[in-house]
Amino acid sequence: MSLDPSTGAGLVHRIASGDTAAEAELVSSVSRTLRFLAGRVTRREADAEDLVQETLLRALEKIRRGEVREPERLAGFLRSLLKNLAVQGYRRRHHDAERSDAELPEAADARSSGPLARLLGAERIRITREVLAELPTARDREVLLRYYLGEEPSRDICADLDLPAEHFHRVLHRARNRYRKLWEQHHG
Amino acid sequence: MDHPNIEDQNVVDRYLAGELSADDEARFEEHLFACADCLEQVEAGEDLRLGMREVAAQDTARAAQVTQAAGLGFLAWLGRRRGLWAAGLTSLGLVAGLLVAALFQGAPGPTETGAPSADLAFVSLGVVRGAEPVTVSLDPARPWVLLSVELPPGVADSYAVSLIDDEGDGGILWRDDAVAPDPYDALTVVVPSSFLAPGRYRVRVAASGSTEVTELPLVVL
Repeated sequence: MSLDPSTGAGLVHRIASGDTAAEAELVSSVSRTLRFLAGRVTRREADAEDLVQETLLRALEKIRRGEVREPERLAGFLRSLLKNLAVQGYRRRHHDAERSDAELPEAADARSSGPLARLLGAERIRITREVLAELPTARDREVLLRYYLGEEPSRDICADLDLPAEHFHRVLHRARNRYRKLWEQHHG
Repeated sequence: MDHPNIEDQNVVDRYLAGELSADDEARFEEHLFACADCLEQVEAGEDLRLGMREVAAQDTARAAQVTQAAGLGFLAWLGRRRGLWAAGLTSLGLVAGLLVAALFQGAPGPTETGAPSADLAFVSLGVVRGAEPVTVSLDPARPWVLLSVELPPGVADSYAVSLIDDEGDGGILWRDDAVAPDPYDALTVVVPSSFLAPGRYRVRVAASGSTEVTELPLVVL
């Protein structure tokens, strides 16, 4: 379920009215996006998962208390809350004995577990090698290597390789799509 | 922020590269809550970025293992070059000592997930790109430098690769006589970053058994 403004507003009103099913719907629909954003902020999987859990707990508390002033901007509220918690150092509250995972509806998946993380890492390597091997030219490979590995600005890569910006973005777009397809093929 | 606008302006790429303004970044991240397609795109982009670092780390660890064995052969090769020994035993010993110390530091340690990690800088050199020098700035905090040499078509099974100091006495800093191309028709070698202080260098590549030599200039700022 996507969290467009009307859906978000509906969930806020239902949760504020005590609808626990709505709480589970909210967790289910936003966990994946929160996990992605948390990963961008923390860069470590365990910390990201902690941040997601804390964000969801705080969000539900505020929604239940009627503290979300613009229900149609729920997405913005969640994003801001996650960023603020990351800045404040959410880890100080990680050991609070009063909080327990039982307060939170079950999260969407358990990617943070060690063995699963290793399995996903191995899969990621395998698929990445396949994507690289399928690139049609050495130049395309260099674009990916310099962009993703060297973290060079796109304009520098384009200038150095005499590459139009559109071609540069096309290479990235094709690589990402190929990655997605290979991932879906393996994971169904 | 609507979908046609996102595609037209390559917002996904610019977001992943951190090139969006703060306002646009906020709007796009809010959009991710409502758009499964964009979320999948950015997830794939992040996975690809992480995957490429993990691939580089794996290749680094493998190259380090080969380099360890080659290092002993290199020292024996040096020993046969009487001219070099005569020219400067002290400096040669220093280079050899650095090489041995660097080689036996071993591969980088594991990350939380158990996958090998690498704290390395990446330099791409292209045989097919011609003789223009590649100019790079290296982060001195990164102990390793991964040199990736793109090969022309019709590659050999094995190459001799040397790193030459183009300033001073033009000595060979590092050499491996048996580097196999990776699956992407490139030679991947790893050298300690201490070998690439600011200056001018050449990477010399020759297919095993061939007299034809290609030299790629490299400038470290």
